Amino acid sequence: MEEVDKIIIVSLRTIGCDIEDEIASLKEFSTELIVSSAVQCIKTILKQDVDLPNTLPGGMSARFRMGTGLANYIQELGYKGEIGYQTFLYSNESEIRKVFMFLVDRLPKDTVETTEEPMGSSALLQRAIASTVLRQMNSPWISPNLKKDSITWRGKPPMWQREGSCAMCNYHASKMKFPSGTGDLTKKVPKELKSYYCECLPYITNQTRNHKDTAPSILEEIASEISAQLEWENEWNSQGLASRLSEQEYKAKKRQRIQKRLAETLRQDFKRSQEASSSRSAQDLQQVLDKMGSRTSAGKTKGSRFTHTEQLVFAKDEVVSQIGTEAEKPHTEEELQKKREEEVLGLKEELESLSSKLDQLDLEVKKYSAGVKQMEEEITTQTRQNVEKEENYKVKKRTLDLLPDAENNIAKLQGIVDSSAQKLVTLANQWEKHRVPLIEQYRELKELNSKKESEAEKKLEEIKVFRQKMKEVADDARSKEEMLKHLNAEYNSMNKDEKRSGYTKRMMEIMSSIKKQRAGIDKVLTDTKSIQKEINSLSGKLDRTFTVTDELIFRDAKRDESVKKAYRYLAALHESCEQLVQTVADTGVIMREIRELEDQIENESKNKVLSNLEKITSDYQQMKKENQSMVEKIKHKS
Amino acid sequence: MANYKEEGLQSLKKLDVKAVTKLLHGLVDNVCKRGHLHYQDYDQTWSLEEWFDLVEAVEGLIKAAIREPLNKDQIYQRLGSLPQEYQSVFMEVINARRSDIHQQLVTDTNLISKSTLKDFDWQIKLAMASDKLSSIQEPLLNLDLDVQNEATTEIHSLELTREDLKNLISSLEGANRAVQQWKT
Repeated sequence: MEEVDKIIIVSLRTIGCDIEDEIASLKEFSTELIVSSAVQCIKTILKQDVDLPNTLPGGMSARFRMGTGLANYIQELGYKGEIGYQTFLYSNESEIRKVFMFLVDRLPKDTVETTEEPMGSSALLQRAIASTVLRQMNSPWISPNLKKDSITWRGKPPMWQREGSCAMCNYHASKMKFPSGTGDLTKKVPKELKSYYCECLPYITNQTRNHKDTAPSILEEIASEISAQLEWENEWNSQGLASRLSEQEYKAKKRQRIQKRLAETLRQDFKRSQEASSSRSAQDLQQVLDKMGSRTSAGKTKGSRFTHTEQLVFAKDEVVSQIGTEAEKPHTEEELQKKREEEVLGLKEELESLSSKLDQLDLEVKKYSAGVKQMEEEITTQTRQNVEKEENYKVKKRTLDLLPDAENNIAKLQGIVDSSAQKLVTLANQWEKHRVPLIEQYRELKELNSKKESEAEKKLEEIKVFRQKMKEVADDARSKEEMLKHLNAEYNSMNKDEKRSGYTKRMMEIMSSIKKQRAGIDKVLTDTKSIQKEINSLSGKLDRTFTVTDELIFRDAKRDESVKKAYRYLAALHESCEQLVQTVADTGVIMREIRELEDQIENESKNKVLSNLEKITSDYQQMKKENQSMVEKIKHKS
Repeated sequence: MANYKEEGLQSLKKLDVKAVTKLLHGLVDNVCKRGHLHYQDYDQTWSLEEWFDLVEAVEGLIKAAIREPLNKDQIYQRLGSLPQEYQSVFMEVINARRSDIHQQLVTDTNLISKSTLKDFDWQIKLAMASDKLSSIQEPLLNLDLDVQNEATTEIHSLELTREDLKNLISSLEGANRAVQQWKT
């Protein structure tokens, strides 16, 4: 019966009855629950609202009416068993079970029927694709300007669907501007910025050129902010903390470092490019020269008209210049040559003499500069000596001044020396006095410092550990959440799965057990049949032997007195044996009757007659009271 | 040169202070390449020529104010004989948008470097079948790369299979690692 109860409860839950999780069988159903689930069942079966309240009303007569109404509805649905208000109000388990089995059987199939067996996600995807393609192929073509954003409402059953790709747009992000620094109320936003934010900053939806870019832009903005934050946190955890700088200091240092590096690379690149360009320019020059050379040497190769004209012009020029030179200088070439050579020689000599002079002069300059240096050195040594001598002179002069009154002065000097020595001693003492506490303080401070440092280190370590832990815990929580989601999904899919396959499994089991039981019953039946047969044959045998012996002894009994006695005994024996058999059969019958009665008692006790009776009497009393109060009311009114 | 600039700035006086604030913010947006001011909104006030002069003068001043950078007195000097309230509006706008303009100038300067990836978009497609094979079931990635090359953006569209995508991602990861190394 438990199986049936479970099935009933699960189906009731699926149609939306509020059954608590602890309830596992129909025995635990309260009257209210029975009534509300029955009403829910009727509503789902008839697919319309029924004029029955979902909860049991307070008044007794109303309850009675409701129970009768429920019973009527169920009878209209075709329930053949006995049913009335008492079935619900004074429930007994088996009747309720029968009623619910009937109702659950009558429930519309699609609500109870579960989805098909779960499949792999790829198979599901393919099925979905196939069905969508099929649907789209079956539906007629519609002009794109009849659909808004290529979304239509059609198909069988009709549903929203996207057709075609003309309304798709790029995921294109652009920069957004929004007020920053407003989260921290303690910091004041500058006045100009505030007025800008209030008056002139366009709304975020107006900031992008294309309205479709708004959502991607916002997503992108937030994503980049998050990733920057994450990266910073990572870096701060791994390196920033260890450097023991404040955030700003760390950032400034990093910025400096990167700038330095950038500048260095830029400088190197610049140098390299400069070198390259200079070598290139040199090459260019070479090329140009080569070109020039080739042009003059290869003047006779065929060229374009341009080169020809160029050559012509050049040639003319040369001719003209030659003419000019010939006109100016009428001397012979040899004279000219000689003159030139002479000139060159003269110039060369001059150059040599000049360069030798220059060298001499250079040497002299060097000598003089060396002399100047020496002199300068001498001057410095002299001045130093001078100073020394002056000092010596001063001391000597003083001593000489003191000489006339030598003794007195010596005594005075002695006194001065003594006093200064004493002063020195006192100063030393004082110094010592000052020094000791200072040194102690210094030592203390040093210790304190080292302690603090070690503490700071410890704390840093702790912070690191905590951060690690924090991260671990966060990761853990995240993974657990994920797992929860996963398990939930699994659970959901399993539930559906379990319903159908579990039922079929149980049904098969029940069938097999029924088969077994039937086989057992058949066995017992054949046993009883064979026993019956034996009994019959035995009783027939007994009858026959008895008649034969009876005849034999009866024949002999006429002759012998003792045989007569034996005959009487035989008769008595037969009779008492028959009686015995009869009694045994009677006992069997009685036993069976007893068993039947016991069963009946059990059934009756299941019906909770006593408690129901009590309930009925109390309800009856209540009804009586209600009636009385009504009568009184009527009387009052009249 | 200076003369017509001056004239451009002087023509601001045709609007009241509030409208000027709005206009200046619009021009800053123009400089930052966000949104666009339309001449149609102001064609009652200025002729097209005046409008061009005005836009050029104001944008030049805005850029110069951040680039040089100019202090308050220098800006006032450049504004010339504009009335006091207009000058203060100018100052306010420049102060409010200082970071934006600075960012834009840096970006403009960055454009001299080689092309950079600005944005990307992707779509995943499932090839179901072809003319030779009845069932392929191969996912394909359509990747659009918006590459900024000097002042223009080009879109490079790629179609990648699973292996191509893996290669691309690994090379991008290598690049990222190089950048990270640079940073630390």
